[in-house]
Amino acid sequence: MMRPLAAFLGLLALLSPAAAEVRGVVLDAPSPIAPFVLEAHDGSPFTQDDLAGHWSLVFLGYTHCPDVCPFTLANLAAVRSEMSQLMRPESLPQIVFLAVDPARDRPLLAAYVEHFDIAFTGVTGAREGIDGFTTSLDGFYRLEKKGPDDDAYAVTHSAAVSLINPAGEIVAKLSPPFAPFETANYINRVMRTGQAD
Amino acid sequence: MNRLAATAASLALVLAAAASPAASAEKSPLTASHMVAPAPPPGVNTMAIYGTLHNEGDAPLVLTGIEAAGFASAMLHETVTTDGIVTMRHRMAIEIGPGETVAFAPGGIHIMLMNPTGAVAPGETIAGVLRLGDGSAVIFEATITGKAPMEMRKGHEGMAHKADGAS
Repeated sequence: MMRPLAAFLGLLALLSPAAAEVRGVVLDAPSPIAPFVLEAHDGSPFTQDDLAGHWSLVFLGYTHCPDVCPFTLANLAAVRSEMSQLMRPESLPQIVFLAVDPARDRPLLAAYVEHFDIAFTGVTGAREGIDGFTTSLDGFYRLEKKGPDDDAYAVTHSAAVSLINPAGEIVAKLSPPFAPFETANYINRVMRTGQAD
Repeated sequence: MNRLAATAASLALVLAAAASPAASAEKSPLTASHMVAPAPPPGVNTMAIYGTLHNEGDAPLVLTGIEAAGFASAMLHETVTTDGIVTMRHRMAIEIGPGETVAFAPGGIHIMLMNPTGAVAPGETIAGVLRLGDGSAVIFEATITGKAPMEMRKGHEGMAHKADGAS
């Protein structure tokens, strides 16, 4: 039986040629986040004010997502770890996971985000708050529920990660893949200079 | 049974499932390698298997189904990203040409597992069966890993391919 690390490294070695790419775009003008009210995974309120005063990376998804969401969140944890080599801990961006399927997400959200990184913040709540934040992110989601008894539905959703500045404005968007080292350096450049290059 | 380890019992079930008149003692030209399944977060009943399939033969093979011990269902899925929007598609079949390698990877083709019948823990293995269109079957084992990040890559290598898909 192959050991887990060996198995993982084998797959990683096979896939590593695609690692260096960062698909990011810096917005021509920062895009503000409209007021919204949601709830963080610890039960505390989470609003647009919680995006002010520090940098944030926001990803939209759902807890029962088998592929893209765990892939993205695991990579964002690695990105944050890489960024810890580039700046002081208090300067690191907070990672926010906007869970858009509250019926299934809310009971799992605290354990879900902590599975990836104890520093992550999961947020969900009423549909109005989710939709408001999603609109500000220029994001999209659709629950693919086929009927009232369908509890195994997928959620179609946007794949991008938004970089939000301390003024609470979106300044850049990143798309998969999220190669940790390269993505960390990309975000660091944008945070420091406002430019990707 | 409360563990997904490739115990004799679970493997026996998979072997029994793989048995069919067309399944001969000949070595299959289809190989499965680097099969891994990142453990899901607590309470989540879906997860994916990634890895590499390779057709060592000189004729096309068509992958038509998946079975995995310890899960209520296993399906071939593909994550498709169009204009930044991610959707999941159920793939009914995947053709693998002679000499071709197909990567099952995040953001692309993968095996989707649902509703485990027991605990899922890193270090254990999942015993599975790949079913082919000619009635043959290939047994594989996937190692359950932690939450380590992986690179995204999708698709076939080696030659052009044709595959059927359905949402």
